[in-house]
Amino acid sequence: MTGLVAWTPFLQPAPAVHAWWWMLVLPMALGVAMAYKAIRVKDVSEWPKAVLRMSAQIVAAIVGIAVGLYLLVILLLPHLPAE
Amino acid sequence: MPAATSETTFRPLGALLGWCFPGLGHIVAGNVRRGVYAMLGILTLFLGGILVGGIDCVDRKEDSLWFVGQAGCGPIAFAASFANDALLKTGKAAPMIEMYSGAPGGASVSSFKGLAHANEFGTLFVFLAGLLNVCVLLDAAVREPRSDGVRAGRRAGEGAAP
Repeated sequence: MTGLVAWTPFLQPAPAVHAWWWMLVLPMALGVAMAYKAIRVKDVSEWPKAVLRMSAQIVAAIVGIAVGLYLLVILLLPHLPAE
Repeated sequence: MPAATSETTFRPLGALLGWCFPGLGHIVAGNVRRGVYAMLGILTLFLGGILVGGIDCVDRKEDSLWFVGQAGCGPIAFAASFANDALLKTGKAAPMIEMYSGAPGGASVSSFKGLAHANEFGTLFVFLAGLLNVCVLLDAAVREPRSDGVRAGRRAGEGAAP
C-alpha cells in the first residue's frame, strides 16, 4: 500500500507488477480487440459486441496455452525417462 | 471481408493523418465513429503501457528495435521518448543511482527506471499500439470516405464491376 501511495503514474513503473502481471492479459486483449475490430467490422454498430467476443477469444486462447504448457512441463515431462 | 479490387484508391493523406494521431485519418475522411473506436483502442494500449511500465518503456536509444514498432503510434511515441530523455535520464524526475560499469567514473540510471515484468509489459503494450496503428492508418488510406452508415464497411473499389 505504501508503494501505491508513493507511485507517480506514467512516470514511474506501476508498483508490485510482479505479483499481478498475469492480469495484464485482460487490458492487452481488450486494447488489441478494440483497435483491430474498429477496422474489421462492416457495420460500426457491431463494434462493442465484436470487441467483447474477440477479447474473450484472446484470453481463452492464452489460458488454453497456459494450461497446455502446465500439463506438459509439470505433469508430463517429469515422467519421461531421464536418459 | 471481400478483397479490394484493382480500383482501390490509396490516399496517402489518410495514412499520414493516421500516423499523426491514431484514428485521425478516419475522422477527417468522415468515418468518425470508426476513427474514434480505433483511437480508443490504440490509446488504451499506449497509455496502459506507460501506466504499467512508466515513461522508461519508450526509449528510442536503449530499446531501438522495440521503438521501430512503437514509432507506429506517431508523434506521441516520439514525445514519450523525448520525455524519457528529458525527465528520467537527466535526473530531473527522480534521483540517479550509481551503477558499476567498469568504466572510470561509473554510470548512473534513474531510480524510476522500469525493471522486469513492469518494463516488459509496458514495452509490449506500446509496441502493440504501434503495430495496430500501422494497420489502422493503412485502412484509413484505402477506405472509402464517409462510407460508414451509407454503405457500411465498404472500401474503395469493393463491389465494383470486374
